[in-house]
Amino acid sequence: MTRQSRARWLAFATALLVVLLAALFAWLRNLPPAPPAGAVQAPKVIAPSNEPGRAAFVRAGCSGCHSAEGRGNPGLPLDGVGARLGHSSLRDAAFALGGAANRFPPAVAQRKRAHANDADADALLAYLQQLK
Amino acid sequence: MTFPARQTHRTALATVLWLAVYLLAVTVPLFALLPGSAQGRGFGWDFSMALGYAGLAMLGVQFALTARFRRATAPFGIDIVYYFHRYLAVFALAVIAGHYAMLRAMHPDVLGTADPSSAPAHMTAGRVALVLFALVVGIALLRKRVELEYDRWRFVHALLAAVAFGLALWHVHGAGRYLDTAWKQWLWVVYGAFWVALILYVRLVRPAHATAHPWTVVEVRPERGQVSTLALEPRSGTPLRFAPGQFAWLTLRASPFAMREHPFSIASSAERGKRIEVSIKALGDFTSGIPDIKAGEPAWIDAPYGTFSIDDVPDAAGYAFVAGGIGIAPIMSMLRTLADRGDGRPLVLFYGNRVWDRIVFREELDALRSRLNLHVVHVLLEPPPGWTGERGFVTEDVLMRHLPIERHRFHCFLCGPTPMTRSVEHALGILGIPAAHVHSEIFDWV
Repeated sequence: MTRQSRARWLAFATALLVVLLAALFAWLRNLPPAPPAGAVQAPKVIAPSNEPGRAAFVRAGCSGCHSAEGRGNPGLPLDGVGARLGHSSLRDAAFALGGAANRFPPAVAQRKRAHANDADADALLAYLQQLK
Repeated sequence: MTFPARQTHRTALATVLWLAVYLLAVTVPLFALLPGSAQGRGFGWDFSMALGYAGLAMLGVQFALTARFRRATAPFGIDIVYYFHRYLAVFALAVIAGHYAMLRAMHPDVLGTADPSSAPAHMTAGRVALVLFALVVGIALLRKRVELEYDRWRFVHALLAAVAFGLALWHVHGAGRYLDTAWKQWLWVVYGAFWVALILYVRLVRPAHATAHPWTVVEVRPERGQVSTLALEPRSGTPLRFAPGQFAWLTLRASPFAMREHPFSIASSAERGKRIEVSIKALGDFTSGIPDIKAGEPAWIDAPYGTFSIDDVPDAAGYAFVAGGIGIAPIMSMLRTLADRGDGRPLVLFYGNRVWDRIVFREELDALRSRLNLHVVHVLLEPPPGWTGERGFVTEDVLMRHLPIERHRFHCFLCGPTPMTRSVEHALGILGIPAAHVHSEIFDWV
């Protein structure tokens, strides 16, 4: 084996190991937690989708950080937010207004506020409100 | 290249050790994010994120691979490390592209718009970084085919890679999926800062050190075959300690900060380190200007590097050398050193050239035969009329005619064009020379 092909194989093996370790990381993070004794999984209720609202949600970039109805970033799911927050609180949280303004890191708050006056802001709020 | 038995063991051990160091450097910062983290968000999501973090770490280590740390490169030879850097870059790019492709396929909403005027800045930074990394790798792979000038490419390569790495760090901190606590954020700030510091060390601290230790060109000597020999002396008077066959990075007519250094084998004797000589053939932009260099000009040297040396196998019964053209330079260093040491072991040199008049060091090799137990076999592609010596290429037949019976106890050193090196490696194997006794130097690894 020439020096060059030796280097190629070593690089390939190294990269493969890195990918396998990345897969191990993902697997470890997704090990099922031990369910508490007697716990019963509640059936998930998904409201019928609202296409214009959903489109506004994606256009405003909300899905970069949030998921809804199984789509978007699963890190911060918004399913059920419509049941937890009233219209006014939901508006403050969605656009970092009023009392909610200080709850977010400045860069996030700025990004949220930038969409407060979008033409489809109301459609977005209506969509969030129906996530019950 | 193959290694003698004892060294093979040492090299295998070093390979495993450095591979472990590599994997730790790439994956520890990732696995450190596990403790205390929230429940996973699905295997595909977390795998994609892990590829992003690991890919960025792989690119960070790329800077370390070419930072020329002697301890890390010594067991393998710096040429192997550079090849490793080149291939690994392709795989690291694939890992990062995998991060993006998985998100695009499984969570397209997360990526949002690609329009930079409305996309979050850190997402745009990630996209631009990916494109820049692809450019860096693509240009590097195509450099020779499109005949991009080496110095210019090297500058663009380093600049684009550093900018892309900075953008990728911004992306990670902006997206920050796993950086959910202050200590995790700090861990990745420190990790990113470490690689940035390494870039600064290589581009600023090391050139500053070189600037403070200048050398002087004391002689420029024309040789046969469009080759010029530069003799250099350190202004500090401190001799360079090197093993015969090693090479130096040389900067001429440019500041060490300008990244215009080129690797050349040291051709002079290792026993005379106060004055070193490099013999350079006019082949490219930089080398064609060597004959114009004047005695008294400053030079900067970063040396020694390389593992192609008789000093790595000092117990050999004898040595055989196979040189093609200017590949004679490191072998000349070994022969001159052996002569200075009064070494009496049998030596055979197979020296392939096109024509008789362009054989570099032809007269000196004749003279060395009186100081060494040296048999020189010239092999000419276009021999003059009446030539009774070997002709054509250095083939198995040529080798068999001139290597002694006890050749299996010899160590062989090959330096020349890659096709020559490969065919001679093969022929030596057929002639019963153990693979562990054959050492070759890659000619064109930059």
